[in-house]
Amino acid sequence: MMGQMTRKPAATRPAVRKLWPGVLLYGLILAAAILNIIPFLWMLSTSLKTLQNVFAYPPEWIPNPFEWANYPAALRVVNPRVFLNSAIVTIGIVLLQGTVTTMGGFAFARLRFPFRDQLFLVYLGTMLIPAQVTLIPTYLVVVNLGWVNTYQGLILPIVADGAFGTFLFRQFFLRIPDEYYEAAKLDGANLWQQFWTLTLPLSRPILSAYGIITFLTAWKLYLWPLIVVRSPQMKVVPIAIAQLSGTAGENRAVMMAAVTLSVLPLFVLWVVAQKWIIQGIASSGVKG
Amino acid sequence: MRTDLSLPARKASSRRLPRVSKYRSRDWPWVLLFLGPNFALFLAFIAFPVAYGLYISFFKWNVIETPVFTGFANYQRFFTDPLTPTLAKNSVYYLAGTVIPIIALSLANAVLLNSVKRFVAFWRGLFFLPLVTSPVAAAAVWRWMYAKDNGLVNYFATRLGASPQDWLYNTTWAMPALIIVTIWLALPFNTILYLAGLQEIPQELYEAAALDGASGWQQFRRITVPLLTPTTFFVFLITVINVLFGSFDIVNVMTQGGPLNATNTFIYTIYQNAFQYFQLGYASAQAYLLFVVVFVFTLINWRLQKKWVHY
Repeated sequence: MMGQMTRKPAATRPAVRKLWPGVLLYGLILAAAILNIIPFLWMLSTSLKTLQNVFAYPPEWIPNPFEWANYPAALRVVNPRVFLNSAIVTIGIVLLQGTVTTMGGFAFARLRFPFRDQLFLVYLGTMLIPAQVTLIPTYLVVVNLGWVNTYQGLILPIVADGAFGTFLFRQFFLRIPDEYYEAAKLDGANLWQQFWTLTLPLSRPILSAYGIITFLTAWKLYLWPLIVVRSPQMKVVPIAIAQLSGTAGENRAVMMAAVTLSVLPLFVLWVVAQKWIIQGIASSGVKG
Repeated sequence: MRTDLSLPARKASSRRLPRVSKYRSRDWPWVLLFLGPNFALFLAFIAFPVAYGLYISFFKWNVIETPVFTGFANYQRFFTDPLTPTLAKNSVYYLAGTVIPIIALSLANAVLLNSVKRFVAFWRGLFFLPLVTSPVAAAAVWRWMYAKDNGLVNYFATRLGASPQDWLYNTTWAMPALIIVTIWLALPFNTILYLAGLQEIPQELYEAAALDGASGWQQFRRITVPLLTPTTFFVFLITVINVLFGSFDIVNVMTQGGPLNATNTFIYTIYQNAFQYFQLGYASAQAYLLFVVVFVFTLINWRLQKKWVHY
């Protein structure tokens, strides 16, 4: 007992000195984190307030009473049809862009054809072209195809913007050793089989990362749907939110409930696939 | 982070591409199969529009009537348009106001996240949360935070002794208000890039520096910052592009370029001219000029990178 007591002050002093940077660090990170999520807390809190309490001063963080009716009201604006449209467009973009970019990447990495490398350079060059340059003429193309207010009009021009994906997959496929392909050829695998049973299974990590990042991007799309969609039947989630946000008689609580609902699918994806999302973003940096 | 994405294979640089000269005609069906869909989409929605856009830029066209060829009139109009200086000033203000803080803050965030040893996933979850919000959703929420009547920003402002403002309808404050939303939205993506860069730096460098008596700040200045220059270069380029073209959604939902064009930028005005005023020719000319500026800017940066990026 005595021995421990006497030793204690000597042992704690360096510990305290070591503790301070730690406290500072966690204090800083906590402050930054709180600042960062204030908009989310505010959104959630407002989404459950009565209309009178929305304007309460000073603002209250915990709604009193809870107005759950805001959510059914919000679902009338961002209705199931809007969610369905967003789901169809987003999944369509992910699947189709995944298909054409992996296949295109495979062609650039494994096939031989004239002007292959020149064409690849042209693809790379188009990544520098601002979307605004192609926006107007692409819209005119879609009008001429009669694709205004259609899923294909919403999906295909975005799928076409896959130069980065094609580039990413080509670079990845080039790192698969030749010996694997030689072995597959000896087993009599044709090019499709080499692609389907060898290349794609080896590329699973990058496929998931690319797929999830494309999903996030596609769900958030606003400018293109704003231009191609006229009918309320074809609205996607960001369009519905933006239209609600502009109206004069907008109920702020219902509005925040609608935004909360619109964020929910990506939030669930974030909780489930955080690792892949972070990896997908990090890999885009590695290639640059 | 990176390890999962690389195969236990040789480096890309040591591998030769199969030679084109060995091309055999029986490969054609395969080329058609693999590249065909990709290339068809590329032609229809990228290559053709790029050429067609340039063509339109030489016409006066309001969609309904037949286009009238006007030569370089649309380009001349750009340089005499009284709105052009305002748009240029706003675009530069917006870019500088977002890109520089984004680089500084995402590096700071990454260093913080890299230093904590406890609840790592928890902190990352909080820091990266804005990734789940679309620009439209973020703009809709921030619009009410900026509201003049009891918005959250005014509440904090009055608590700090400032006078409340109608932030989004004030020619001085509307742009800073948009800039803050843009920064908030862009930080997670760039923090992740920096975090990946930080994890590439060998720990031994810091240990050696600490043995030589280097302080934490000196280690940051002499090791972290120089070794992160490739990441900084990439973050810089990609942020300029993302901020520039992503700004449309935020501007459209929060201010529509107002008040009095205080938040109108080239990106936004191209949309207005094309889809609200139906001046397709002029909008196309503006888009092409923007393309030239972005292209030259990127080229200059590729040249300059030798001076400060250490690979």
